[in-house]
Amino acid sequence: MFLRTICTGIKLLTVVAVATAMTSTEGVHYPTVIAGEIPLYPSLARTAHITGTVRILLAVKDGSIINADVKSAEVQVTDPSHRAVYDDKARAIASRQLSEPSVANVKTWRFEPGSNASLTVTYIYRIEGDVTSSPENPIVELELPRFVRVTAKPFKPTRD
Amino acid sequence: MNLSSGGNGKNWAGGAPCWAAYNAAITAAETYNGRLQPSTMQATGSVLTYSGYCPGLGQTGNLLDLTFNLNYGSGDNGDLIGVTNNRDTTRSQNFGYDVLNRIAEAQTTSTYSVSPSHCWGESYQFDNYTTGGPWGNLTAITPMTGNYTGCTQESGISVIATAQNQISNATTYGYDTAGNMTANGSNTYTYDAENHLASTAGVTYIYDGDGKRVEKAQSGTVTKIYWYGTDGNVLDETDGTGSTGNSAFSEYVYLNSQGQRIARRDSSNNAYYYGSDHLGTSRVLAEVPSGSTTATLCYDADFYPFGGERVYTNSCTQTYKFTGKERDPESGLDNFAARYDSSSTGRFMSPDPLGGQLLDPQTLNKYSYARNDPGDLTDPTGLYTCKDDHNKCQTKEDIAFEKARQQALKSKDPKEQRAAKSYGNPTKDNGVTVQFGNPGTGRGGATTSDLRVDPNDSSKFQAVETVTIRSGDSGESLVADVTHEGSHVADAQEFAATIDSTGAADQSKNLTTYQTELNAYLLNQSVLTAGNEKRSYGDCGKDPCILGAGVSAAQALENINRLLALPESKGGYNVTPNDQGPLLYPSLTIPK
Repeated sequence: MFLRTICTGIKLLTVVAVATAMTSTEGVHYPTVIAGEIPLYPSLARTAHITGTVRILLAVKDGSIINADVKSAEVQVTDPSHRAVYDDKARAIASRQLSEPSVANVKTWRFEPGSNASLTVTYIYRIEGDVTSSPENPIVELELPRFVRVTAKPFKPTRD
Repeated sequence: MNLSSGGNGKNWAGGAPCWAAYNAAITAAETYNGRLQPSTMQATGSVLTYSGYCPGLGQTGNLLDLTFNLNYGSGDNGDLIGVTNNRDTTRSQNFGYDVLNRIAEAQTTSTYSVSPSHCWGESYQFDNYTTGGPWGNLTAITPMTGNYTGCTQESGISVIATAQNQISNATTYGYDTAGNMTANGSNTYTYDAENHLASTAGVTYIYDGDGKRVEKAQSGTVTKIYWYGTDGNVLDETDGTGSTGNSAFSEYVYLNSQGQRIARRDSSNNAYYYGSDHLGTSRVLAEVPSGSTTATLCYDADFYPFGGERVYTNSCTQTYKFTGKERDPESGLDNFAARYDSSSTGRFMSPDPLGGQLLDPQTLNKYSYARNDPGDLTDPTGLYTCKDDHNKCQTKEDIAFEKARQQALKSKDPKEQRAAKSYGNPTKDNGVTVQFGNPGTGRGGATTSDLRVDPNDSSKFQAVETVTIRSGDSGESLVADVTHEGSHVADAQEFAATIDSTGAADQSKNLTTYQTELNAYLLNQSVLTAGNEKRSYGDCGKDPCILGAGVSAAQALENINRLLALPESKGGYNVTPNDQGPLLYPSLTIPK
């Protein structure tokens, strides 16, 4: 594999990153995030009880993101009244409520100058805990640059 | 056909029918025990008159004469254990139940040696043929042996149930991904996107926007049109031409708001009167030819517990049978509005669009019919189960709520209509749930708002509203509370409808607390004014915040503003025109 690093251009950079990642299992690092916006629970998805996992394939060149594509989005759609049962088509349509904000967030990230990498970033959105009557900030856990976990409490506004 | 000509009716104090005289030809009477369970149901082919206190028929009913034994006085669980047919006691029936109050056996009191032609006996098994089980799947209907050997009964079933509570045996039964049965060995079935049965046995069905079946068609030609009244009952049936002058024409008459069908008229003005049992099942029909006052029995049948028909006389064909639902001759299925029931397998073809109750686990099986207690319970809409007969199949609160909603629907005020309409059709899931209880101190109701992906269009969103109306609320106050909460529901629905698949929404429709409460309280003012009543809201001190009769529009607005500005401890909302409080959907602030 290392022999191929003699190639030039973008392909070279990609292959170097793959090589780095492979060695990372023996203790080598991922590129470091130096700035980015705080990921929050996408508001419509949270209100409409859409949860799930979005995997984004990220290409980084010289510390900047040159490409961010959704690799997969596995979402669950829940009816709070427990009557409707949703099918794959509904889940596919709902998945954009999580995947588009995830891509928008990851694109705000900047990496250490000179970083070159290709990696998968996984956003995990969960709704757990007691129902609140007004929205509270979610718990956001970052394991940069590979995992983002956003856990929100369900909320239900009341009118008398 | 005029029901009041030469006759009239009386009700018991509890609202149950006591006696009624039809067309100078028939008297029907019912009596109830101290638990308000039916004890006798009778009909006779002549008009009898009674004093006002309703003693019931009290003599032999020559059309219908049933005595019900609900174990009153010796058993507490209210299961029907016997029905005596006083016209022909060889057709009397007894019932047995398992520990979960599911029917376990049913048989005539007459054995084979007493009445070979009238006797029948069946055993029912759930989930497993030999060991039984708790999941509520009727898996076997088997003939009784011993004293009943030689009797004739239904063909019975022997099936196994899958983990999805669907039934299978070899290759006979099939289901689609939405859980609708698509094949049962005798027919195949197709369903539309709203899970209505679309076609079977060469007949296609057409539904209106509320899910009511409006037409039947064969090979592209409409063969039957159903004409509904405002309360959702079929008033007329015609062929595809709409003619009232041929044999396809039928006109129906109902006794009460729950839709107890009591008579049919054909195009020659012959009348047919229904004699129904405690479940609303049509047991006898009496024909009164045009111009005559003499009734003749022309249909007489018994029914097996899950709805199978056992006909004794059938010279006037009719299609409204088990619990008064229409049985389609082409498929044998019963149309229960939200879904179809198969009496031969004793279960629904499609899963219950509503959920069951955790406190009654037998209701969690989405296919079972009336929690497998078909002699005691009915399922009038295919959506929920209710106790006893057609006269008591809704709680007092349900009935009062619906009456209040209907009153608001008829209002001339479009805002009041909008509030009443927001609750939707009771047989269709539009995301709104109505319950009764304590909505909080000083409040007549409360509404919580939620949101879901629209089950009928995944690219849209739908408000999920739970409305709690105060238990015991009545009169104009109930109408005011129903419209007040309906206004909140309508506000939420209108905003939810503006959310598109990108998540953008019309924020001008995402109302503040002040805006939605102002809308709602203006309805309290108009409803109470129309009903000539007034009511004080909140703790406004020496000058109470009164709405209703005698309060001018300007004064009402001022009183509402004073009420809304009060702290919650005084029954207010802590909001003013300048500080309007949170949005209806506070987290959705993406502008469109």
